[in-house]
Amino acid sequence: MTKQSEGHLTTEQLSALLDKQLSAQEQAIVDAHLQTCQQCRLALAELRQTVVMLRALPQVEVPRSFTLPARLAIVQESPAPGHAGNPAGIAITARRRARRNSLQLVFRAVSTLAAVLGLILILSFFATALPNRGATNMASSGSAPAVAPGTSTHNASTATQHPTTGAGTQPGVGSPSVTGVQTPTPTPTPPQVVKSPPRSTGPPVQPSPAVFDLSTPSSHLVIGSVLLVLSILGFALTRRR
Amino acid sequence: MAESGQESELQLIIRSQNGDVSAFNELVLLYQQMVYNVILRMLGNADVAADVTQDTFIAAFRGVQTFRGGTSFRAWLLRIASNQACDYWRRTHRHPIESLDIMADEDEPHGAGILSSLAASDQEGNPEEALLSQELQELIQQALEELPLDQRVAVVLCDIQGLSYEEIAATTQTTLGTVRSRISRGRTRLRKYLYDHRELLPRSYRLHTDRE
Repeated sequence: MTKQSEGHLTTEQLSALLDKQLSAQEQAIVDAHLQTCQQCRLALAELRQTVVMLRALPQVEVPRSFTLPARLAIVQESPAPGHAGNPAGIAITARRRARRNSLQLVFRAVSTLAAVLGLILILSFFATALPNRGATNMASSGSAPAVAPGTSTHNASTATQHPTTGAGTQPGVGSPSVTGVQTPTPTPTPPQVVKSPPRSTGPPVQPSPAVFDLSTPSSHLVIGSVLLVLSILGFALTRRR
Repeated sequence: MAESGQESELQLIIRSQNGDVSAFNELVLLYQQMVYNVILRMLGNADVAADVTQDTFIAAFRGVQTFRGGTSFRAWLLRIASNQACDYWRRTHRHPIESLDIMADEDEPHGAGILSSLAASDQEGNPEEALLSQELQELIQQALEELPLDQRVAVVLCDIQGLSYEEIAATTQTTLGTVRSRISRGRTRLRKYLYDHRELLPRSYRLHTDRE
């Protein structure tokens, strides 16, 4: 590495000289050379200047304290002391990850539920609406008013029972022929959609927007597809992680 | 450092090894300034440096069982810090600068072009210029970030933190000869970088190779 033969000192020698890291023998050689060589003196001066600039860089104050939270102690206590790798940091991330996983699970379960509900609602729409186009009044006189919900969340929970019973008892699956007979006049009755007749068994029916009213097949389709879209979104969001 | 100080540091380490977070936090308070500055000079970004510093102390607490007494705790901690910083740098910089690629530059004899006279600040003795301007600090920071990681660690520990070659060797788990070589090559690169940007240097720091 040394370039004594070429007549000049190496940068490494000069650098080590600045830090007083030369062996006594090297030091003597370098000193002797510097006495006679202007070029190496200049090289040394430049290197020194660079080091001076580096040393002049200020120490930056810490932006915050980096002390660890005390809850790490709880994590640390669980394994026997003396175990080499009690990964406090891993414990934190593991806990965080577990929380995220359970959140993800809940999210997925809700999405699945929403997807099933949505499909059932959409199917019930096709079952009720397609075979007999004019049977809207039938739908309104079915079991729907009994479970007519006030809020949309209610909607989701009660709808689990409704579409199945609705599909069974209502015209769609049960007897399309009967409904066909029962509705001789396909008169459009939009007002009936809103004023669902109050039954003695059901809770007081609140006037709700047409969309949330499960009594019409078209609302089944709307709510069903909304639920389906929401569930797809839910799956997409959880999968990305 | 006083003997009592070392004694208490050892106590804190032992308590930390038994899972005492508050003891470890006293060590954090002792060393966070140095750890943060090493990481900041290596990475150049304050927010990133803060995150990596936090990761360093979490990793240190996690691995404090592996620390063996009789060696320098500071070197042990700085090893974790520099490893964390290097890992971060490698993750975010997909084109690592190899140490070898400009070896030729570094080993070339001192040509008259680069090495001529120098207007030394000590000769002018202007105390106002002892403080580096913001621009100059940024220039030096940029120069540091151009260094290969092994040289950067060595130069930051030596010239910015003032560690001895022995402690740098302990930190980087290398030999004294390697430390000497890395520091030398790092400084040479820095000098070249600063020379290439000499128009940004204040007069007292200017490397007057352009005078000839």
